[in-house]
Amino acid sequence: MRVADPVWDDLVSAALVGTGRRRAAEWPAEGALGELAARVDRTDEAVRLLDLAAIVMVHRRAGRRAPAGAPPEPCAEVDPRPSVPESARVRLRILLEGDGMDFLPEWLAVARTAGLRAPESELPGLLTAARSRTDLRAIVAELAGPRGRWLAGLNPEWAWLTRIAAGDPDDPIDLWRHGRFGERLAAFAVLRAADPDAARELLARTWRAEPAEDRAVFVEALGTGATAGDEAFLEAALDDRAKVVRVAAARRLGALPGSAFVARMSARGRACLRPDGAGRVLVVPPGECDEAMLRDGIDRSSPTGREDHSWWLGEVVAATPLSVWREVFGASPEEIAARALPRRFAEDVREGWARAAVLQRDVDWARALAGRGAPTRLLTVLPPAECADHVARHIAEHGLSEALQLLTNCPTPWPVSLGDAVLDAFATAAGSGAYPWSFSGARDVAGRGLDPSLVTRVDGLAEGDGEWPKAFRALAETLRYRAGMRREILDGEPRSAR
Amino acid sequence: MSVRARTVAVMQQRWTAERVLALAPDAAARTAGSALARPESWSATGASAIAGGPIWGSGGGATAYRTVVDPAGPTGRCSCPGPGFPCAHALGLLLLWANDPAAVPVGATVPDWVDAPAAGRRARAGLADPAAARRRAERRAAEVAEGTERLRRWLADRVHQGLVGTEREGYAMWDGIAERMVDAKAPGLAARLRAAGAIPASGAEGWPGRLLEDYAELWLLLRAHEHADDLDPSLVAGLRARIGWTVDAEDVLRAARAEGTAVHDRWLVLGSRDSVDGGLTERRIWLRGIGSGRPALVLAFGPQGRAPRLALPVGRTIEADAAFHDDAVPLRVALGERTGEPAAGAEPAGVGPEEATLAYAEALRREPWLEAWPVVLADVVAVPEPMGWRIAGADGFWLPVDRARTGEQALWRLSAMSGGTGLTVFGEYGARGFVPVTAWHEGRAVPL
Repeated sequence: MRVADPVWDDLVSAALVGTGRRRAAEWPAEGALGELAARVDRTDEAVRLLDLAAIVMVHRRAGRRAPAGAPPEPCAEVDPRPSVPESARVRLRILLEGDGMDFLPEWLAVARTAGLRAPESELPGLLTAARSRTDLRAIVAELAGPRGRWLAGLNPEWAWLTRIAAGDPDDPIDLWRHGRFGERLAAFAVLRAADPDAARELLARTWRAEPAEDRAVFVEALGTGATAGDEAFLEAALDDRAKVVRVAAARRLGALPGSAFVARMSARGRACLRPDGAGRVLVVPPGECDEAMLRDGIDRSSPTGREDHSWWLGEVVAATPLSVWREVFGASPEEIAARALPRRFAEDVREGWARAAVLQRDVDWARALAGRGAPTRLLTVLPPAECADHVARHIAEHGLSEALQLLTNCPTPWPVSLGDAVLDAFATAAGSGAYPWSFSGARDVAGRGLDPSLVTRVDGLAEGDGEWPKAFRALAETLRYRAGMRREILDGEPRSAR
Repeated sequence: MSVRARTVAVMQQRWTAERVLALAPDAAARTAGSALARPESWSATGASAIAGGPIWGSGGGATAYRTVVDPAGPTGRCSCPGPGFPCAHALGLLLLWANDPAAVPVGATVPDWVDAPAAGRRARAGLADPAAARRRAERRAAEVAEGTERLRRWLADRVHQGLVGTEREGYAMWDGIAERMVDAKAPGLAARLRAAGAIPASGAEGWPGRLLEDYAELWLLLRAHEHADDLDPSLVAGLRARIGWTVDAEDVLRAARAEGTAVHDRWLVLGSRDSVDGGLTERRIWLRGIGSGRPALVLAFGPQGRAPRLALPVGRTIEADAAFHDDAVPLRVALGERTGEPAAGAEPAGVGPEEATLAYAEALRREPWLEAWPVVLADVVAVPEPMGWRIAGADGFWLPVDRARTGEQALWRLSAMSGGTGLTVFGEYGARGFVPVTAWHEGRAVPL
């Protein structure tokens, strides 16, 4: 706090312009300070000023008192949840300050499951981390509790927490009008969740001014809170000048039950597939791609050079509501998928069904198709445990080389069955003489995903010399680290006795 | 390697890094030595299993060096063309030996080149010669006196010319005068000059006042040094430490034991803070005697980029002898052998902001150049205000924060832990405000 001090201020003024131009003032030889000052040698003005400055400086320092009048602070609400053990708090700080961001989501998830609150001393680090890691905001807000909200109220940089707490991510209308694309998209999602029709009308107002790529993304965004009112808007978008928008609109309409689009596609689909006896499917691909099909988002020819009839067939099957087949075949997805398909069209039909299952998030169809060599993205439709089972089977059959994406999509920690499959695949790769660094991506994912209880198996693989045992030792080290981290949160036991 | 080391490590007593660094003739040598205190700098190293036996190392590519040190002297030699012992290689080797037992294995096979001149080495008196040591001390005192006289003239000239325009000077001017102080073996003055140089460059409001305050601090030290013969010896000790003389902790301990002045106590570890200066990591550890109630400060150093070897658990207590340096207001200590394991420590009793300012003033009365004094504050909160952070007591009295030495994160941590309710906080209060170091929250000591 700045307190007026004419003696010191005069010294500063004289020093600023230089004693060559201005002398420090004389003061009366009164009081301890004055008497001391009077004894200062005055042969050289610069020396005199520095002598005086040294004396006054010590005098000021010794005389400085704590100012009064700080108003009492408002207190935060009490958080009844217990805090994490001390060792877990120390670990969290290391994660936040070092390069431990890979393990932060797991730390947070374990603490939440245990019903603990975040340690207050690490709230500043957590709130700052979640500023850029938007995926962690919800869990950080939950663990931070009332103390986090209290703290965020003091620092505008943590306003995100205040907004989450208030259930108000800024003013969405304002963001929609003035934000950048990403912010507008987020605002649109919020508006759409609140009032789907009003949000769509807001979009219609700026529609013609939006760039084509953005129009396509906004059409996708209409997937949230779809209503019958969307149909006219989407039908109009089928005539958009940009193809990306037309394709997106067709996809959206295909997911809108009872729309004219769905009726048109269902009719096309019915014409393509029907039962052939008890165990076969009769396939009749479209004879041509007419104007109506073009308008509904089906291209005249395949971008990858697939034969025209096969291409049209696949496109129609993919866009047809899966419920149609239940009616046509009078059977479950499992039974339909088990029917034999004519070899020429088998791949197109299966691929079409699989795409439809992903698009329509149809778990029954995904399940029916997953075991039949269908594309791997189908698995994202399945519940986590089932997905892990399928990935485990996929890895057992095909190894790890194409499994990275699949593994990344599996929620962590993986079930032991999947972990075992991954370790089997590593062991096989090691035995085949493959280079360990070709698997470094899978190993990183495994380090985060494997259940730490598998560490003894990894230790077994790590025996001996060479690159593979070295890689397994690193993996075991990661698992031990995570096991220690979990243990610290749950029972406060340090990772290892030092 | 490790097996062999384990069997004989008891024989050779390793030094502390401080003791090694005390051998360095100047700051530049300390920096160069600490840069070589990495295992990568050496291709082969070893230490004799016999107490006082040689420590050796070889390394370097095109400019290969072979270094032998006899810690008993200490004496040594090196194949480098440097001006004599201890060269940067010898310092680096000793630091490595002090800090990283695995990097300098004890009992390794002694290469031929180590032993050859051993007889000659023993014949030479080396640094153990008291007359030589006195000559060196006199030479250094003369160098420092020359440096302080130069700085006196420089400061007077700055004030004669006027501070105005200093904000447009580059760092080169400050580095220039700071370098002169390093050459004059007054690294403490050099560090102050570099810190002062940052003030006008910041262009912050009120910089002339703060710059004059830094000049006045330097001036006070220079004037006191000039009249050191008239001062109480205890004032001179602190003065010399600020100018840049180092004292070997071992010597302080030995003297205190001889005189029976070592303080045996259980010490609560109040806080620990690391800072980097001139390539060295300096660790300051504050203690409070449970029985004596005395505050104490332990300094430990680590070479470039490495943590000092001494680490004490904040919030816990240790039992040890502490030898206080001969300071006017005793604070710096050399810590002797610790007995037993660290034990749980209670939350320390503290005072309010008003008493903190009084405690500093009282210490200042006895040692006028004290920058700060350790204090435990009780029942305070950290509050962000438009004019800066406040550390406020329940009675409304508050302390400003020394932002040059306190990070934003530390203050927010303090605020988060308090949640508006008072905490016990340890820190330093002094000329530039309060620096929080440790807070007690729900019975735990949390480093800020």
